[in-house]
Amino acid sequence: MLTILLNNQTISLPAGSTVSDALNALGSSDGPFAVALNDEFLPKSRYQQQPLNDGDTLDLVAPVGGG
Amino acid sequence: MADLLTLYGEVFQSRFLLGTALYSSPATMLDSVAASRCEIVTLGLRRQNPKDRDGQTLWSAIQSTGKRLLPNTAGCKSAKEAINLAEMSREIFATDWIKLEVIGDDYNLQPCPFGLLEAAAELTLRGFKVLPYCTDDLVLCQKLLDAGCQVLMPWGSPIGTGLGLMNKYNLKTLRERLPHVPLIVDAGLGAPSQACEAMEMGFDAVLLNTAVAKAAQPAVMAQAFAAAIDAGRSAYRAGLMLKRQTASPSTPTIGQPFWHQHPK
Repeated sequence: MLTILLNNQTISLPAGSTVSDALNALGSSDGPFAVALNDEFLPKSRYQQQPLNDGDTLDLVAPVGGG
Repeated sequence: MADLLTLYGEVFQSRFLLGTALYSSPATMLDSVAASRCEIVTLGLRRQNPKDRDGQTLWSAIQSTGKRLLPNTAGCKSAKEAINLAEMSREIFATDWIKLEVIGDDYNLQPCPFGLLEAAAELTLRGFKVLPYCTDDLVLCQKLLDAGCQVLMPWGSPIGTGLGLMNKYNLKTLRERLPHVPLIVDAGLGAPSQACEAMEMGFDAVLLNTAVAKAAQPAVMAQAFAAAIDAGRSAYRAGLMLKRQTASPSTPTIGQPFWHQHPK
């Protein structure tokens, strides 16, 4: 198992999980959102290949109103 | 001749950019955007589960306006944060345009000139069209232009204060020294008269959010700002008279009856 911080919440995933697996676990594989892994932008094209490590931080952002 | 606003090669009829935050409902936001006649709306990104229904509803509403999107990097406190958020914006919104915010002080949300410049230079290299939210400092603005920005957005006053044009000397200096750069007064405007004044000073456009969103009748306030921006722009183009210290009669004095005819 590995533990990551997803949007400031701790979640556990099987060892060897990718970013795609984390998004699927959250039920968030569709929709307008973008991802940063350990504070670095991660393009969508890399979700399936990008492995997660224990202690990683994954941030999902989505559109909100803004000034 | 049509009086159009050109930003990064795109042409707009409206000189009013409107934010999409703080409205009481998506419907109120939509009514306000329509009443403003704006062609560019700003929006942001925040941590949330994309399945969140409220977020999706607002995003769908913003999309339905069909306006050009200007995503921001609000809340970023370093160049690195702003660059990453800009990349995330570009992926989601499929636009190179970015309203670059790098905040240097939590109390007055004052832009950090150093982080802003660093981020502007890097984002320009990465192909972004950067519209930096900056202070009214002339040297900073010149450096931002050197870094590749083609539009500048100096503050009127701190975000959400409604204080209007706080430092008119600096703003006039920017207009005079950068006559060919599109300058948009961004933030701090609380009343249509303040937007009108910015336009009378020769600024190219105005960006605001709170003054409309927090009005008792946001759509009516959006309409009022639109009219004020139009009026200010027309006045600037018409040419304002010079101020002077002493009175000067507007009615001719020649032929004035009873002139100096007081009884001796």
